[in-house]
Amino acid sequence: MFSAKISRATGYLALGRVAVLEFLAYRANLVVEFLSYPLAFLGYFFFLHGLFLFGHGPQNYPLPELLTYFSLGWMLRMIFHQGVDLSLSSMIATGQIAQELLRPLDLRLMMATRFASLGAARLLGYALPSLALLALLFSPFLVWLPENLLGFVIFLAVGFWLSFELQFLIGVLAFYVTMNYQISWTLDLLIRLASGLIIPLDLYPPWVARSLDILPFKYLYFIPLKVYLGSLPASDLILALPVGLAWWLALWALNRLLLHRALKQLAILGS
Amino acid sequence: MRFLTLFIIHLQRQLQTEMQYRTNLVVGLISQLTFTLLSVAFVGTFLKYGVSINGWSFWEMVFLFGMGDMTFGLSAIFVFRTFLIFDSRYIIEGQLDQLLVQPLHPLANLIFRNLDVTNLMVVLKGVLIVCIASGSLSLSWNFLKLTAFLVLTLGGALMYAGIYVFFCSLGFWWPRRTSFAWPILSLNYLTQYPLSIYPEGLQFFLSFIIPLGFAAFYPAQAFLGIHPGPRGYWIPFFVIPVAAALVWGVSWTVFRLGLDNYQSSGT
Repeated sequence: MFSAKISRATGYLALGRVAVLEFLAYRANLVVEFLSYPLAFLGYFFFLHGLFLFGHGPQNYPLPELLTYFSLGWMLRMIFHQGVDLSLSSMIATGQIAQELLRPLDLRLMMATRFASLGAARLLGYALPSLALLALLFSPFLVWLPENLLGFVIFLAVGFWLSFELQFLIGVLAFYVTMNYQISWTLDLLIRLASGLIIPLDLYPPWVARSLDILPFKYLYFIPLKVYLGSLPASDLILALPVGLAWWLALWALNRLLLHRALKQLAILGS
Repeated sequence: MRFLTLFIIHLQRQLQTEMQYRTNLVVGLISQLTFTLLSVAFVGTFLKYGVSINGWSFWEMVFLFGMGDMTFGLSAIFVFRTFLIFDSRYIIEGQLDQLLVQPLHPLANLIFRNLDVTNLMVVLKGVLIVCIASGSLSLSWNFLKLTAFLVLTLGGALMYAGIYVFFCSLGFWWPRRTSFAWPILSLNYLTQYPLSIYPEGLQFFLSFIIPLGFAAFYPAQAFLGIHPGPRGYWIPFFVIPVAAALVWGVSWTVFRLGLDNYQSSGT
């Protein structure tokens, strides 16, 4: 019994190792993705810089806070956005899911292991070097708050697993409805808007901010970033961790249920 | 005439294929509109009514987004799919060999085989955004203005196409699995904001080294008549199509040189 568990754990670890090796194998991809995020960020930086230069910046966000918010936000995006939804929906559409189900391992755990391994690789390979590059280029405009790092890392972990569950949920929906790149991309765009990656949620009109406040997406980017900046009201901070974890648990349970029901009805024809 | 006939045949075939998946086209339009919503929401949040940045108001920037979508969408119908797959499929896997023995210029053949009519959705979205922005800016349209707008839009699209073909052609000397398309698209995000907000070096780079600024920003600036300020460049209306033709000519030459240099992978 115990050796079976060890053997399964070794299997998961091997999958994680393979995912990292694949990530490292395509070095041109590494360079392209590493460059793409900071390049896209330059537009944000100079737009906001120009805005503040003309004295039109939002009053509740000084320029360094806003730039730190966006640069850290895009760093998180580099770690979180791994296309779990697309790989799962493509497995379902092509029938490759059958091969995955033949393995003596749990499908969700396999994907979660890959997600965690790649997350660590992307943190070290993309996110931290990009952040170092941005810090080098724009150091006077970024805020360094080491006292808030621990809280940031805790909420980063919540956001990371919540992001996995959301991507898995979109992917698993392919069992029930047509899912393709376009739909998946549209959902991702909406999540970007609702999670505070594009605009901090407290800069939306009050009724939009209130609506988004009751959804789980803010735990992906807005809450971790506000925790780092130390600008989350104490009352919100106390509630944020248990509510964020509750959302993660709810999505975890929903995904388990949807996958279980889909696999009971699944029929794959052909060789 | 032969080119036109071949183009129409390929276009018909592509349209027939795409019309089999009509829902996909609708979803494509929705996703494109959502993508623009992201940019508009970002700019709209920070650029309140009445406020401008380097001479550009909110609605003028929306106009720039729309024009950018039109020029990008038009060029993407013809060359973007080629840009994405040229290195891996045609150079590394050697599918270019097949085109070399056919009685049509390889570049035209590549473009015709890889037409992507789904990008028509991006053009339609651009038209919609330009109409909304022009209504809000109270622009008055007449025949001359419309002609100028079309010339600028076609010039911008030709500029995009020229830049894509140029970077595609580098695959003859430096074949890779990863296309240059993604870093170029990232650079392109920079041109959705007025170039005058950038430092002079970056403005120069986006105007004269990789002239993506000529694809949407300068056409929009010339059309709206916005003064670039002391730090920006003013590019007159007539220079834009000329520059686009020049870049297309350079790209065409580089492609021909690459073709002379091409060694089949033998697969």
